Amino acid sequence: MHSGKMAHPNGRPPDRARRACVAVCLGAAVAGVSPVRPAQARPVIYLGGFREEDDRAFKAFREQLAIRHPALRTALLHVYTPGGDQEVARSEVILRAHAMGPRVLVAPTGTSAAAARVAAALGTPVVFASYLDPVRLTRATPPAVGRLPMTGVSLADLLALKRLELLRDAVPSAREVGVLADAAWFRQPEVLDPMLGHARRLGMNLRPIVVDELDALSLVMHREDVLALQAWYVPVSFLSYQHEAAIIEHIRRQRLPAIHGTVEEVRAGATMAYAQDTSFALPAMADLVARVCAGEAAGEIPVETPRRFVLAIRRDASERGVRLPPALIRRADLLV
Amino acid sequence: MFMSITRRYALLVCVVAVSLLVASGLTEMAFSYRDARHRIDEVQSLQARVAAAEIEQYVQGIRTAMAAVARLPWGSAGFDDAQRRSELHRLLALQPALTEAAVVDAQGRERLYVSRVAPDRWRDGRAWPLIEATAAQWPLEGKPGAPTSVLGPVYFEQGEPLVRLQQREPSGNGILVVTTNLRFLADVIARLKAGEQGQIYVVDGADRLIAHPIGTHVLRQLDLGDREAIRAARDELRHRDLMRAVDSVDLDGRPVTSTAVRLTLPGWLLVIEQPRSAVLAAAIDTLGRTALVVILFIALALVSSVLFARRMAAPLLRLRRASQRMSAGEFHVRIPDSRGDELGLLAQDFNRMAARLEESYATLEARIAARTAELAQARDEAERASSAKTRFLATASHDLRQPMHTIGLLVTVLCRELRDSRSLSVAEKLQGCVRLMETLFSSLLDVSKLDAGGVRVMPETFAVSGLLARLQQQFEPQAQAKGLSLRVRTSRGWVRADADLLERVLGNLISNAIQYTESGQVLVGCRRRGDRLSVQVIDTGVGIGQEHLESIFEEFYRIDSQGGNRAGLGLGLAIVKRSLDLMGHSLRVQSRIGVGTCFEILLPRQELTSEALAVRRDTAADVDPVTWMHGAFLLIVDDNEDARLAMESLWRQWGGQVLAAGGLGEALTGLTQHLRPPDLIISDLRLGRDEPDGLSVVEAVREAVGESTPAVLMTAEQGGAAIAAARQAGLVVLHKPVNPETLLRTAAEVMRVSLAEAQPELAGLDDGLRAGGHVEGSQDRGGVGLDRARGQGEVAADQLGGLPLQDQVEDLHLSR
Repeated sequence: MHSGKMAHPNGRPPDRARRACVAVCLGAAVAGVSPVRPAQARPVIYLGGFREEDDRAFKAFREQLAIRHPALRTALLHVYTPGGDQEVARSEVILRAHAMGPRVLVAPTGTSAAAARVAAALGTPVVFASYLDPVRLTRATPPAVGRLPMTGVSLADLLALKRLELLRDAVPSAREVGVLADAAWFRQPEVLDPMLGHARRLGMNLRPIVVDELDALSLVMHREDVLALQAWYVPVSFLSYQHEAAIIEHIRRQRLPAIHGTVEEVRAGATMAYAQDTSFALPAMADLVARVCAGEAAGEIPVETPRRFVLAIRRDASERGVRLPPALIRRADLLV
Repeated sequence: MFMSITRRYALLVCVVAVSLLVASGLTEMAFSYRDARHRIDEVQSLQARVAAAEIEQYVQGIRTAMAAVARLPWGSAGFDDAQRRSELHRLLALQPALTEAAVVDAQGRERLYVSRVAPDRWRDGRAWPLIEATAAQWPLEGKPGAPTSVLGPVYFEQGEPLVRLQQREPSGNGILVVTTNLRFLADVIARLKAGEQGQIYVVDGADRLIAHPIGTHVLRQLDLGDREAIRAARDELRHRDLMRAVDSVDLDGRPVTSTAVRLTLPGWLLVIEQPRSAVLAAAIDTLGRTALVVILFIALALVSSVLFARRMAAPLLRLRRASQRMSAGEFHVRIPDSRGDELGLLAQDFNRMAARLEESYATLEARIAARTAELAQARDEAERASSAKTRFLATASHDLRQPMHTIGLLVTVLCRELRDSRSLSVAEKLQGCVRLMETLFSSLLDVSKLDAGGVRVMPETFAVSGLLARLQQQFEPQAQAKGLSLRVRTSRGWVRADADLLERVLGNLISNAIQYTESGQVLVGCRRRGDRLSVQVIDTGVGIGQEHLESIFEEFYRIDSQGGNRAGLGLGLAIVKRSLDLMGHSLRVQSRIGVGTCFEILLPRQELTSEALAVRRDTAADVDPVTWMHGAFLLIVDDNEDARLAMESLWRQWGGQVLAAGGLGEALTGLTQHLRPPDLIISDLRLGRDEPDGLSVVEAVREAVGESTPAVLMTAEQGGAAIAAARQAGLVVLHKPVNPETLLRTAAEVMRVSLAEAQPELAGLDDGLRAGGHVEGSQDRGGVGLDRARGQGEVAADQLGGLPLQDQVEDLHLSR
C-alpha cells in the first residue's frame, strides 16, 4: 500500500512530509499507546504510524498546531496505530482512543483514516489526510446513513495519466516503458487500468516491473528485458520511498529517461517528476482540528484537495544521457 | 430636612460642574466616536479599493497572458498545433490559477486542449495520437461580435470555484478559453492587509462566496445573499462606488464591521470584514481616555466644590455661630469683617446690631432689676396683707368665736332660768338674735376661707341616703315651725364626693328653700342621670326671676322682691357655688315666679363596693340627748371663766353633774374630791399659755382615772396640728361658737358610743359612732355646728325621677 503525502509546514518541498506519510502507511507493527503528556480531559488524539519519538509526521503536525493554534498544543496526544495488515490491532487502538473521549481524532494516513471510520461512526470527529477517495471515505456504510463526522485533506494521486503524457513529451520515441513498483501498487486496478489504456493511445507499451526487496531490484535491473526498456515510470509506492536512491542509481546507470511521483526524487537525482503540491496539508489539518474543536461539525466541512501541481526537471539530465526537449523544460515549475 | 449650607453649596457646585463635565465628555465622546466611524469608513474603503485593484490586476494578468498567446500567428509556418500546445502549457506554468486551456472555433468546437491533470487533446499530423475526431463542445460567452476578452460566470466543479475566460485570437483562427481556479484568489487576498484581524473575501454576481482565506468556506459554495453586509453593499453600490461601513457578523458569527467595493468583474463584490473590537479599538481607547479625563476632572470638581463651598459658607457659619452665642446671652460676640464684599458688610451690620443689643440689654437689665425690686416690694406688701388677712381670720376665728360661743351658752342658760314670761320672751328674742348672728358670722368666715383657699376637698364614697336622712332630721323642725312639709325622697345610690361639703351645700339649699317658702312643701329628691346622680332641692316658694338666676350666686346678692325682712347676708348661695366649684360638681337652677325653684346638683355615681360598704353609714337610732345626759358626770375644762361658768350652768340645767376646771391641775385636783370618774370630758383645745392643750388634758385625766373616758374638744381655731392630733386620737372636735343643742347631742352621742363599745349588746349604737366621726370631720371645714340628729329613715326620692320641675312642684301642691 502506498500513502498520501504530507507537506512541509513552511512550504518547502514536501519530501519529509511525504516520507512521513509513507512511513505511517507502512508503519511498524508494534501496538501500544504512548501519550505525549499526561492525559487531559478530551484530548486531540493523533493516530501515528510510528512510535512518537520516531514519528516525524507527528512532530511536523505538532509544530504546525503549536504555531497556528497554540491553545491546542497541550491537548495533543500521540497514539501509536499499527499499520500494514494489522487490522485487528489497529481497530483495538482506534476503539481505545475513542473510549478516551477525544475532541477529535487525527488520522494522517489512508490506513489510519480508514480505521478511524469506526470511531467516526460512533460519533468521534476525525480529521484525516488520505489518498483514499474522500467521498467513499466519509460516506457512512449501512446500517448507518449520511455522512460521517470526518473531514480532512484528500491526497489522492490523480496524475498518473499526466505523467505518462509528460514522459511521452520528454521522449517522443520511447515505446517500451517500464513501470517500477512493488506488488501492492500493482494491486490497484483503478489506477493501473486507465494507465494501460492511455499508454496505448500515446503509442507506449507499459512493462510492469514488480520489485519488493532491494536485492531483487538489482537482479531485476540487470535482466535482459529490462535493459531493453526505453523509459521508466516510477509511481509513488513503498518501494520508491524505501529504495529511492537505489532505484535512481540503477536508472541513471541505464541512462534512460524516467518520470517519478515526487519532487524529492528529482532532488535525489531522478530526471523529472510531476507531483501534487501537498505543502498545504499539515497547516490545513491543523486548522481543521481547531475548527472542529471550536464546535464546527466535521461532517459539514468540505474535504480540501491539492490545487498546485509541480513539474520538476533535473538540470543535468543531458549530462546523464537524457536529452529533454526545450519545450518541456520551459514548462517546468522547478528545475533542480 | 436640614442640610448645612456648606453641603448645599458643595452639592450645587458639584452638580453644576459634574453636569457640565459629563455633558462635555459625552459630547466629546460622541464626536470622537463619529469621527472614528468616519475614519473606519475611509480606511476600510481604501483597503477595499486596494484589494479590489489587486484582484483586478491578478485577473488582468491572466488576460494579458492569454492575449499574448492569442496574438501569435497561429496557423502560419512554425505556429502549428504542437507549438500552440506547448505555448498553452507555458501559459499554465506562468499562471498557476489556470487549470486548463483550450482553443475552440467560433462554434465552440474544441481544437486543442491542455490541462494540469487531465490528458491533453490535440491533433497532430505526426505520430501523436489524434484525440477525438468529434471535438468536445465548449460553451462560449457572448456573440461572435462580442468583446475580445470575456469573463464567464462562476461555476463549481467538484467543489472548486471555476471561471472561464475566453480571448478571441486576432487571426480569427480560434478562441482561446482558459479555466481559472478561483481558490487562487485566496492567495491574493491573503496577502492583502485588512487590519490586524480582518478578512477579505469575494462574492460573485450571484452572491456566492468564490474567494476566502479559509478555503473550505469556498468549497461549501456558500450563498451570502442574505447577509447584511452583502445586502447593504448591493443597495449602496447601485448608485455609488463606495459604501459606508456597516455592522454585521462574519461567517463565524462574530461581530464585524464590513465594507464592500464593486469589482470591474461582472457582479463581483469584494468585502472587507474587520472585528468590531479591533476596528473600534482606537475609538474605544479615545473614549476611555476621554472618560478618564472626565472622571479626573469630576474628582477635581468635587474637591473644588467642597473647598469653594467651605470658603463660601465660612462667613455665614461664623455669623451663625455668633448668632447662637448671642442667643445664649453673649452679646459681646463680634465677627471679623476683613472681607471687602457683601458678606463683610453683613458682618459689619451684625456687629453693629450686636453692639446695640448689648447696650439695650444692659439697659434692659437695669430696668428689669428695678422692676424686679418693685415687684418684690409689691410681693412683700401682698404677703404682709395676706398675713394680716390671715391674722384677721385667726383673730376672727378665735377671738370673736370665743365670746360669741359664751354669749350663746349664757343666753341659753338665761332662757332656762327665767320664769317671768315677759323676761323669757325678751331672752328668747335675744337668743334668736344670737343664733342669727352666729349664722351670719359663720357665713362670713366661710366665704373668706373659701376665697383664701383654706378649704381642702376630701372625696369619699358614701351612700347618699344617710346624708339626706341627716338633713331631713336637721331641718324638719325648722320646716315644721314655718308650717311647711319637708319631704325627702332618698336613693339607694352611692356617690363619690366630699360628704361634709356636700352636706353643707345641701343644708344651705334646704335652709334657703324653707326660708323663701311660705306655704307648701320642700322636696329633696334624687334621680339617676346616666353615670351621675342628680340631687334636687325643690320648693314651692316665691321663685326667682330669670334675670336673677345668674346673680344669686354672688356674695351679698339679695332679691328685694323676695322680701327685705329675710335674715341673712346673701352669702348662702355664694358658699354653695364656691363649694361645688371646688368639688367639681355642676349646679343647675330652674325657677318660676310664684311656682317655685329647683336646685339640682349632679354627682358622680359610684357602684357599690366592699370598700364602700365598709364606710356605709346607716341611720342611727334616735337618741334622746337629755335622757342620756341626765345624771352624767361631766368634766368641763376651759380657761375662759365666762365660758366655763356658762357651760357649767347649762349642763346642770340638762341634769348633769359638773366639775368645771380652768386647767389640768385644777381638773385633777377636783377629780380627787369626787367618788366617781367623769362620764364625759369637755375641754377647750387651748387652755392658756402655761397649760397643756385639751388633748393632753384628756389623756392625763384618762390616765388618772384609769378609764378611756369619752371626750369632746372645742376650739375657735380653723385647723392646725393640734386639731389633727386630736382627731388622730379619736376625739370629737367642735368649732366655736357651738350651738348648745349641738353640744348636747354631740355629747350624748359620744357617751352612747362609748357605752356601746363597753357593752356590745348596744351594738345598734355602733353606726352612730361611725356617723359621729364623719360629722366631726365636716365641722372642720365649715366651722358650722351641725346637728347630729339622724333622720327618720330614707325616702325613695327616685320615685320623683323623670318628672319635670313643674310637674314635681304641682305634685307637691297636690299632696299637701
